Amino acid sequence: MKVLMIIPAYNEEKNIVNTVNNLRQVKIDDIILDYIVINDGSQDGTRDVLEKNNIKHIDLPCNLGIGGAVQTGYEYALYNNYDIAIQFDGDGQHNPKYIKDLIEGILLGNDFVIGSRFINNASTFKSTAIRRVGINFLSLLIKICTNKKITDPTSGFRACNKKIIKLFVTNYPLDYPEPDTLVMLLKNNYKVLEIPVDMNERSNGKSSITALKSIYYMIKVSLSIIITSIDKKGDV
Amino acid sequence: MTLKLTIELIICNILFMVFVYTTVRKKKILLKYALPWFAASTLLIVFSLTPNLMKKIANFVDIETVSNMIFLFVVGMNLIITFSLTATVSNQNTKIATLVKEIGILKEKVNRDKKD
Repeated sequence: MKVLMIIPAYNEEKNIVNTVNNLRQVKIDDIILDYIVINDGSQDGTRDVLEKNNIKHIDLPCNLGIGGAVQTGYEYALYNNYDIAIQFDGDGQHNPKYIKDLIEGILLGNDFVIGSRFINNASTFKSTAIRRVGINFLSLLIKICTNKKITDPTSGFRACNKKIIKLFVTNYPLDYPEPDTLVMLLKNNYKVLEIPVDMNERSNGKSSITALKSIYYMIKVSLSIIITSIDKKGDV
Repeated sequence: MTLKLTIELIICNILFMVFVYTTVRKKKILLKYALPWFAASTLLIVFSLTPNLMKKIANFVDIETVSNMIFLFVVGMNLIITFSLTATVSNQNTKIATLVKEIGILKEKVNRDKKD
C-alpha cells in the first residue's frame, strides 16, 4: 500500500526542514510512506532550503493559495498511483505520530479521516479563544446543513482514499478549502471519520489567516458551505 | 422614496441575487468574485427597508432625494468593483507572464536534454 504525504509550504524556510525530518522517521509496517512538498511560490528562501536539504518537492511558479497547492499534491498522487493521500502542514503544527491512526481509519473502510483537536479533548493547544468561536460556528453550520457533527472542520490534517483523490483532482476550491470540501463529501454520503490528535503551536512564522482577513474568511466559508450544501446530491 | 419604488428596488435586487447565486452554483464564477455583488445587493435591500434612516442621511449630506443618494451609492459600488477587477486582471497578467517564462525555460531544458 502506497501512501503520499502532501505538504503545502508557503514561506516556510524556518519550519520545513524540521517538518520533513520528523516525517522521515515515521515507519509503518506494510506501508510505503512517501512525501511531496508543494512550494506554493514562496518569496523567502523556501526553495533554496528544499534544494539544499534534498527534499522532494514541486515548485509552483506563482502563488496559487493553499487549495491550489494541495490540489497539485492530489494530482501528483493520482498520477503516481497512490492508495492514500494525507495532507500535512509544513509549519510543524501537526504531529507525525498520528499518521498511523489516520491510515488505520482509512483501512477500516472510511473514505476520509480528519485529525481533530476537539474530539475527546485530545489537544493541549486549541488555538485562540476567538478562533475557537469561529470553529464552533462553522461546526454548527455544517451540522445544520448536513446533519452530521464535525468537531474540527478547519483541520488541515486529513487523509483520504483513492476515490476522494480522484474527486479532489477535479473539484477543489483554491482558497480556504477545508470546511467546503468537507460539506461536499458529507452531502455525497462519503464516510467521514474524526480521530483525536494533538497539535502544536506554530513554531515559526505567521498563520495564513490574519486578523483582518478573518471576517472575510468567515463570510466566504459560511456562504460556500451553504451553497455547497444546497447543491443536489451527486453533483460532483 | 415612494413605496412603489422601494418595492421595485427590492424585487430587482432579489432577482439579481438569485441570478448571481445560480451562476456561482453552476461554477461559472468563483464565489470570491461573487461576494462584492452579494454585498452590494444586500446593502441596497437594507437601504430600501430603512427609508427614515436613509432620509436623515440624505438630509445630512445635502442630497435632495433618497433615490438620488441610492443612485450615487450604486455608482460608487460599481467604481469599487470595477477597480478591484482591474487589480485582479493586472495580477493575472503578471502570473501569466511568470508561467510563460517558466514554460519557455522548461522547454529549452527538455530540448537540450533530448539532444544530449
